[in-house]
Amino acid sequence: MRRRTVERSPAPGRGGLASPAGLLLLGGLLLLGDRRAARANPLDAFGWGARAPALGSAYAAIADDSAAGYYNPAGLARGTDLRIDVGYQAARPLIDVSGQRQALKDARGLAAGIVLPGQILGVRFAFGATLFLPDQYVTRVHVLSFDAPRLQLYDNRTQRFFLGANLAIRIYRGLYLGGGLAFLSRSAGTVELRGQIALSDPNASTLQSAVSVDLLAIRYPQFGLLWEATSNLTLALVYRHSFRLDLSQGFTINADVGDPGQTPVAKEARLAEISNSVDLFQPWQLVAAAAARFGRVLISFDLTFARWSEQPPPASNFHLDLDIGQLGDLVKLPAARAYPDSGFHDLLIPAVGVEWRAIPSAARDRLALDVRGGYRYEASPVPEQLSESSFGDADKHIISGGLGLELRKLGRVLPRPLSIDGFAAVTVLPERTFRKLDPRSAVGDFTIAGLVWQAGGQVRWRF
Amino acid sequence: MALLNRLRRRGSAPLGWLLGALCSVGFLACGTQGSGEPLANTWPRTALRSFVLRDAEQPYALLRLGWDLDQPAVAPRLDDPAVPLMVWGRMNPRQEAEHGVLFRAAVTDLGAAAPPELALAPVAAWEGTDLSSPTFLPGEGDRPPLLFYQGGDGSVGLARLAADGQVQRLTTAAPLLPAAALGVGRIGRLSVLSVGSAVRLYYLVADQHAHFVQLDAEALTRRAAADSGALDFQVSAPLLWAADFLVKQTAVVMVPAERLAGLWVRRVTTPAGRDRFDLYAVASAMTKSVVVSASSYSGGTIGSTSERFLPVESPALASASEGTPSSPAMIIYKDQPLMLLGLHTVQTGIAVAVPPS
Repeated sequence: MRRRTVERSPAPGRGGLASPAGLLLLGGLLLLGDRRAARANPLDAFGWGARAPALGSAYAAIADDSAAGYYNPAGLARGTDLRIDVGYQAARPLIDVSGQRQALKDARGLAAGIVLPGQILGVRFAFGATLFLPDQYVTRVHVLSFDAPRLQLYDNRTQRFFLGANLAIRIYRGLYLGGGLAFLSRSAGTVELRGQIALSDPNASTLQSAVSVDLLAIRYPQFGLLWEATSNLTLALVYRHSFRLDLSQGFTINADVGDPGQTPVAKEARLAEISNSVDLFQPWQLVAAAAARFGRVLISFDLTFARWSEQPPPASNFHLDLDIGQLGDLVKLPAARAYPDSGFHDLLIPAVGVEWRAIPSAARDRLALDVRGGYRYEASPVPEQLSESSFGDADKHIISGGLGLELRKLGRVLPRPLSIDGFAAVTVLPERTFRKLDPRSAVGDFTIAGLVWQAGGQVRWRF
Repeated sequence: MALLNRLRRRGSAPLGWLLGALCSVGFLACGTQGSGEPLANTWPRTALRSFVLRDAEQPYALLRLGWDLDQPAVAPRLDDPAVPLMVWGRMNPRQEAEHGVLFRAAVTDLGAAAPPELALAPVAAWEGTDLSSPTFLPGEGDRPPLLFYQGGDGSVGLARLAADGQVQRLTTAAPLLPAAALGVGRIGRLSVLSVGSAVRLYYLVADQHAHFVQLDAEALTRRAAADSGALDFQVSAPLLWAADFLVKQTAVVMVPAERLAGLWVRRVTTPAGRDRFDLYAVASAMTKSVVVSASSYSGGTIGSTSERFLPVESPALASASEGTPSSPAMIIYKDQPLMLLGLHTVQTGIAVAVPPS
């Protein structure tokens, strides 16, 4: 048996746990038992709910509702009320490439969550589930060749189902720890042909086919720590692990090669091809946050470190395996190709939010109104695109605002305050110019600029 | 269950209904319908691109019985779709390749053009019996649109193009640029461009290498205003060689081109705001001829040999089994890039190629 194998692979990436926070949380990760961590969802791009996006997503030190399932799981245990949050949010990207509007999909869907508090052996805990269910695509995948131009962060990153399940406990008075998993699926499929390949007349080949597709679950962890340092100051630290969604597709032929009725030229020949493509990647993130209350004003600040430099080349790795006996020497498999490093930059992403209790009490203390605003700056992790790849992206200034109406004393059914929140936000992508070194580039120079409009509303119940 | 127990403990029976309603709303709001629709490719490309003949069975836009038509060029026009495209070129009687004249034809639809008519015939002594290579410099400021062309020996003549389409020769006594000053060997087709304060005429020498001759734009404007003074010019080093291109002979054999012909250069501004120069020509080896292209950000510089055009590996026109291509020219017509070219089958006419759909 002579077997020839060619493997195509990108430049080696760095390990997903080679980070200080990763080391701190190593034990937890081992318990989870799956290193294929994930975080590729529209929440990273647009936030979740209505209060948090209004505050520029500076929410890690504020979270105490089901949004904590995304922003900081530790916040789930802060309250003792059962909470149910239901809302809807939408984002519409209007991004131009060289002045031409791109056909990007909206990201819109149901944002719902629940927080179930409890107490065991005197330890306060809470379970939270946080859901974003897009109403267009539960998931959307596609594979592009390495040199195909694309809007790296708005292409299909925002078309994603998100389900997070988290558990939080109160370690000590004012100190909370939380963590959890989010679930996603990836697909792996193979097509297998088995039988005989007729050399002189391919139509006389007799091959049976079998198709096998698996949906494999991916879990990814996140952890959060929240400390109510004083009655007016809260500090938080959150770690979110990286995520890489691969598409795996295989094709296998097991067959005798030769004309029917004659001795096969190659018996039990085998050609196997497996391609693994990176469909989505999201870096691990470490968030340090603080929130302070000054009378009727709440100010929050988040600083997120995002490890974008681990972005693998978004291309397919092919593994070819050919076994055709003595004929193997006659076949020359194409040479392997290594894709260049994507060269993405790590980011520090600041976000600030302000919430002002404009009306603390009205209508006999049945109503209160909050006015919110926020700003978030996210530089582009994408480097200059001088050669083969053409990943388009630009810096992002996210400006947001919103209102929160709190209704109280609604009777026996709703004895606790009911919150109705709304927000609107715009992401401004100032024009960025990409120049190619080679004038013969198939894509050529291009510019990226645009806006992303967001809006949403949510109702939050407490029982 | 804990949730239900909690709700029951609070005596909130209607709350169960409320939760049910919320879940129903949630499910109603969710759609799971997907599709395998192909991704819309709306990414604009200003790069060099390949073309295919618009109609393989009837590729010609211009033909004239008994004549060969070649070297297309489009006269400057107002950017108005109602104004017909005025295609110029060279034509010669069949079997009389050395007796060329310039023609023009109004094209309102690429499938229906007016018959080509004589636009300019050799008159001046230096022109000999042959005119070729019409190429236009659009008007700018005081300078009217100018027509450059070649006489029989490759020397360059100049004419002014009036608004009514009339042509006024400006070089009756002597050529604007004598062939001997441009290089040693046969001087090939001209292609003129305005580059800043200069005007460049690109051309091929001896079917082997490309050059440009650079003129001062203001001096040219004075010359166009009938000033008969001397015109200074500079000639560049070679920008490109025929052997830079490979010509496919069989499915697996590629050989370096033996000769180049029909050069055309255009200048485009990329979305980044910088110039890029694209060069098109026909490369030939043995009996095969293909339209090829090359590109440069500078278009070459005087006195430097390092600023060369970089050849594009794939042909600019997909295999033209319908005939032998010659003299490509690039235009934008109704917002679409088009390639006009000579195409020889039993006769030579002006064909149209478009980007593949």
